[in-house]
Amino acid sequence: MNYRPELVTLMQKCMIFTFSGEKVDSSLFADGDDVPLSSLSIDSLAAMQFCIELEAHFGWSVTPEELLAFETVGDIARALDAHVSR
Amino acid sequence: MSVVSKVLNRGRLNATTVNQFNQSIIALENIITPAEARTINSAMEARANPETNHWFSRESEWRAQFDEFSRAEGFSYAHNFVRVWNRTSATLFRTTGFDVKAPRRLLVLFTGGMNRMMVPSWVFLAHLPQRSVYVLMLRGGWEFYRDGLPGLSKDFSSTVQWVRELADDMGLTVDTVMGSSGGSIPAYLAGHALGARRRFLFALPVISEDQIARYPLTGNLKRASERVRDVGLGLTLFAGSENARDIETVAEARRRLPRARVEIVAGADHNVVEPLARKGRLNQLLEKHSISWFRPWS
Repeated sequence: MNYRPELVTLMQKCMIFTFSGEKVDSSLFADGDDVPLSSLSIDSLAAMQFCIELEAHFGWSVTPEELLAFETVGDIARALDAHVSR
Repeated sequence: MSVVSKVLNRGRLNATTVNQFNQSIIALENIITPAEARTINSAMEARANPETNHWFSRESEWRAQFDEFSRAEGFSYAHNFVRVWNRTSATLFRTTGFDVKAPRRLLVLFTGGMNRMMVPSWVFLAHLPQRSVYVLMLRGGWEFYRDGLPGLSKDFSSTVQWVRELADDMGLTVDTVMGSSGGSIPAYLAGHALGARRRFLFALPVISEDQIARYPLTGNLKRASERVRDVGLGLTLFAGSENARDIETVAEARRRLPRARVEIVAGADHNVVEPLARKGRLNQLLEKHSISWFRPWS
């Protein structure tokens, strides 16, 4: 299942932006593009909130350290998919 | 055992994951005073044993952060705060040793992400200019306060009205309004509506056109200033030097609000408050702009 739309909503809620200040939205994933986490402005607070939201919405317990170790948003979506499918 | 210690213990005992533990700490951090943070630090210190404390690692991190924040220049317990009351979406504090002869002032905080002014409540309170003051901390951030304060108001207009009535009932004057990130534009508009003499906005939010369409009440600062016909008197804007969009937003706001003052925080990203607090400059800048606008607080 494609969890990217939900991830985008949660990132917006956590005030995560791109480094150029653009909003995080589904157009970032247009044409199958992926988004490196390094291109997003995720500070420690935003990462913590994102993890809390992920756990609350999907029951997926990922720590901020583990989250920031992913290279792309697509990697997070795939890991989330694997968790939900289990 | 204090109420805060009981809440902390309940949170840590009920938490089974790191995120649940973090969530309980964050919720607590958003309503506690500097003195209560010191109590929590002492409690964590007393059980700092990796053999018996499941949360030893996380609590060690918290204590390290406590040390760093509380040792920064400008952080002060001298004018401590007590919590008058606490509700889901608002907390009222006042300074202790309240000077009954001092003007009865209210400072209103519109928090942003994580329901905080970019730092825990106890850090922000400890850096406020040391004056007798009531502080109302509001939490309705990520929807830009469009949906009001849960349990208190239904939309932004009724939020402003609720604050006005609270101040009137308590015989307080709304002296200053501050907002961070998603709380900035609501703080700007509320400050204008409530006749606040000073407004401090930390990191204006990046609001896209479709968000403006969804939240027409708040919009962006340019549109908001056009609506209230403001020139920015008493307004101070903070932006991080490393966030290109925030710098651009502030520059645009400055063109629209020629009397506004701008503080660019060197090395900071969107979160401008935390580096200012860590480097001991938050209190200094708040003092500087509080005193230079119109007249001093005291």
